[in-house]
Amino acid sequence: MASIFEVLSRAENGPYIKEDEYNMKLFKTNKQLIKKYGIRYSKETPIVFDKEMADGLFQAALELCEIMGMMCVDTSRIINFTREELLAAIYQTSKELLLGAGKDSRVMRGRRFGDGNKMTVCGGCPGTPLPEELFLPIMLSYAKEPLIDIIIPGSLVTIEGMDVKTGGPLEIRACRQEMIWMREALERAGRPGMHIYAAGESSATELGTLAICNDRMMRATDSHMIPVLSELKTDYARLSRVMTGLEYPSFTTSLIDPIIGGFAGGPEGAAIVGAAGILLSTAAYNVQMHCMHAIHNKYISVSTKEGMWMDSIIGRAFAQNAPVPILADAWVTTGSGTDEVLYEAAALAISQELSMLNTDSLGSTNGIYPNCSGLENRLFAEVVDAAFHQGMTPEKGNEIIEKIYAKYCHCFDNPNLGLPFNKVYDVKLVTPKEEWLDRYKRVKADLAGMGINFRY
Amino acid sequence: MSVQTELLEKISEGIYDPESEVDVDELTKQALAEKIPVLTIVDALTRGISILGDKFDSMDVFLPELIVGANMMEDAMKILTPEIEKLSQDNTAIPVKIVVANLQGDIHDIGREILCTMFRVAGFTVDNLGNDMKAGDIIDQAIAKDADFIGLSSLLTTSLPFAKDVISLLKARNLRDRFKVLMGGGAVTPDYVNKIGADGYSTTATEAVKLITRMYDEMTGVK
Repeated sequence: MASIFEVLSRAENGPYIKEDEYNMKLFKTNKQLIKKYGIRYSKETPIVFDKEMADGLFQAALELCEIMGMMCVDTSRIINFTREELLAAIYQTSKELLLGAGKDSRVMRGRRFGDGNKMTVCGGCPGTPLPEELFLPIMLSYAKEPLIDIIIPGSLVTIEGMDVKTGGPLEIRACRQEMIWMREALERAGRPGMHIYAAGESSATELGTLAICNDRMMRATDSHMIPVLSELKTDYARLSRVMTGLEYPSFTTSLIDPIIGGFAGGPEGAAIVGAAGILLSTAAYNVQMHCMHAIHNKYISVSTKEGMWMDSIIGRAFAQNAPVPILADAWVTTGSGTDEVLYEAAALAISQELSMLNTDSLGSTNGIYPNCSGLENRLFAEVVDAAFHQGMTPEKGNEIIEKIYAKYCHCFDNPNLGLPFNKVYDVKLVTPKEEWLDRYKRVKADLAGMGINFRY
Repeated sequence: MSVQTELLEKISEGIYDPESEVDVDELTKQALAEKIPVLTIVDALTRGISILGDKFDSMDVFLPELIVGANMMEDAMKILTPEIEKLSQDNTAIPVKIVVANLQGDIHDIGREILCTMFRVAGFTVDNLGNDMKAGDIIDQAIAKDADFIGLSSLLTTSLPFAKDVISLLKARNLRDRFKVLMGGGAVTPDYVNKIGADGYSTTATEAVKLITRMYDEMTGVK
C-alpha cells in the first residue's frame, strides 16, 4: 500500500491536468463504463438486488480509478494508483472496528449478506448548524436514545455570538467547545465511552481537527473525517487531515459526496464515482470507514429514489466484493415535528439496512435549519431493528418503500421544514413534547400497517 | 419543411441534443450565408439552450452536457455578434453584468458552475471568479468588471459569515448602492440574507435568472 509520502510525491509529480479537462474526462469515461458494465438505474428498485449489476459496479469503479486516479487541485496533478495497489488497500483494510470504549463500545462492520448482523446506527445531525444555546440538549437528545450506537455532532456556527469562519481562529474554539459539550452530553446520558463519529464537525479546515487531538476531546476511540472533493479530487487541506490522522491514534473516515446530475452523470455514474471514492480514499487516505453522501442535483436529499438507489448498489457492490465499513448519510428534506421527516427516516432505514450499509444519521432539512431531534432518529433505529429481525427481503423492502415514498415525495418541491428543537422537545428534561410524541406514535402505527413488524 | 426551417431546427438540435454531433458553428455560418435574419438564428440557438435547460432540470442531461451546450451557444454567438452589432434595433441579450464567487474557505464549485452556465444561457455577461474568494477581492473584481450584481455562493456554514463582510466592506467603501448582492448555495437561507442586508436569494439557478431579470428591469425602469 502506498505510504503518505508516496501519495504526496505523486500529488507533486503525477501527470498534469487542468481541472476542467479532468471533469469532462470523468464524465466521458463514466458514460462508457455505464454501458460496458450494464449499470441501469430503476426507480422501482431503490433497494438493488441484481447481484451481477452490483459486481459490474465494483469492476467499473476499479476501472474508473485506474483511468482517472485522484486529482490534487492544489498541484493540478493526478495521484495514480495501479489496480494491484487499489485492491491491496481495500482487501487489507479492517473489516471490523471496535469503536468507543468500555461498556459503550460497539462493533462497526464491513457488512456481508447473510452475516447475521444488523447495521451500526449513528445518531446525530451531521452538517446541521446548531445554535450555541441548544447544542448540548440537542446532542443529549440523541445520546439518550438506546438504539443509537455511535453519535455524530452537529456544527457550532457561533461562539459567544461571533460567527465561526472557515480558517479563522474561532474554528479552533468551536471544535473544542463542540467536543466539551459532546463529552458532557455522553456523560449525562450515562454513555461516556460512546464513539464520537466525525469529531470536529464545526471546522471546515484542518485547524479544528488539530485543535481536538487530545484525550480530553477527541479520543483514540473516536474518529474524524477526511472528505474527498467532488468528484474524486483532493487538496493539501484534505491531505493535511490525512497526515493528522496518521500521527494521532483516533479512527478516520472518508466523506464522499457524488453529485447525481453533476460531473458523474446520473444515478449510475454517481454510483460508480461513489464506489471509486471508497477505493481511492482507502488507498490515498488510509481511512478505516467511509461516509457515503449522495447529493441529488435538484433536491439534495438522500431520500430521493435516485439517492437511495445509488447508496444501495454501492452497499451491495462492496458487500459482495470487498466488505468495508460504509456509513450512508441520511439527509432528509423535512424537519422535526412533521410526519414527513418520520416517513423519510423510515424509507432510508429500510433501504440502508437491506443494502448492507451502516448509517451516518439524519440531516433534517438537508442540514440547513436546526430543526432536528433525537425522536426521528429513534424511529429510524426502530425501523432498522424491525427490518433486520423480521428478515425483510429487498423485494418486500421496495414494496414498503413505495408506500412510504408516497407520504413524503410531495415535499421535495415544497419542503415542510418543521420546527426547531426547542419547539418539539422540553429543553430542560430533554424529552419530546406530547404533540411530537403523538405524531411519532401515529406514524409508527401507520408504518406497522404497511408491514414493518416493530418488536416494541 | 423549407431548407431554412430545417437549418434552424438543426441548430437548435445541435445545442439540446448532446448525441447529435451537429456542427453548430458550421450551421450558423450556413444560416448567415442563406440570408436568414440574424435574430432568427439567435432564436434557434435560444430555443435549443432552453430545451437543454429543461432537460437538465428533469435530469435527462447532466452538468457536463449543459456546459458543452452553453459553450456551443457562446461560440455561435461570437460568429453572429458582428451581424447583431450592425442592427440598429435593440440587442435581444439582457445587458446584465454579474460577478459570481464562492466565499472564502468554500471550494465547492459545482453549484457555482451551474449558476454561471445558466447566466450565460440567459445572455448575461458573467465573470466566474472561482472559489475561496476574499470579500475585498470580490468587490475589487466587481468594480474592475463594472458589474451590476455580485453573486455569492456558499455550501459551508463556516464560509457564510464572509458574506456579511462583503456587505460591510461595500458600506465602508461607500459602494453599497452600486451593486446588488445576491446569495445562494446549500448553507444560505432567506433569513440569513435578510439579516445581513443582502438584496436577494434564490435556491436554484433558474430562479436566480428570473430574480436578476426582474431586479434589472426594476433598476432600469422597465415594466
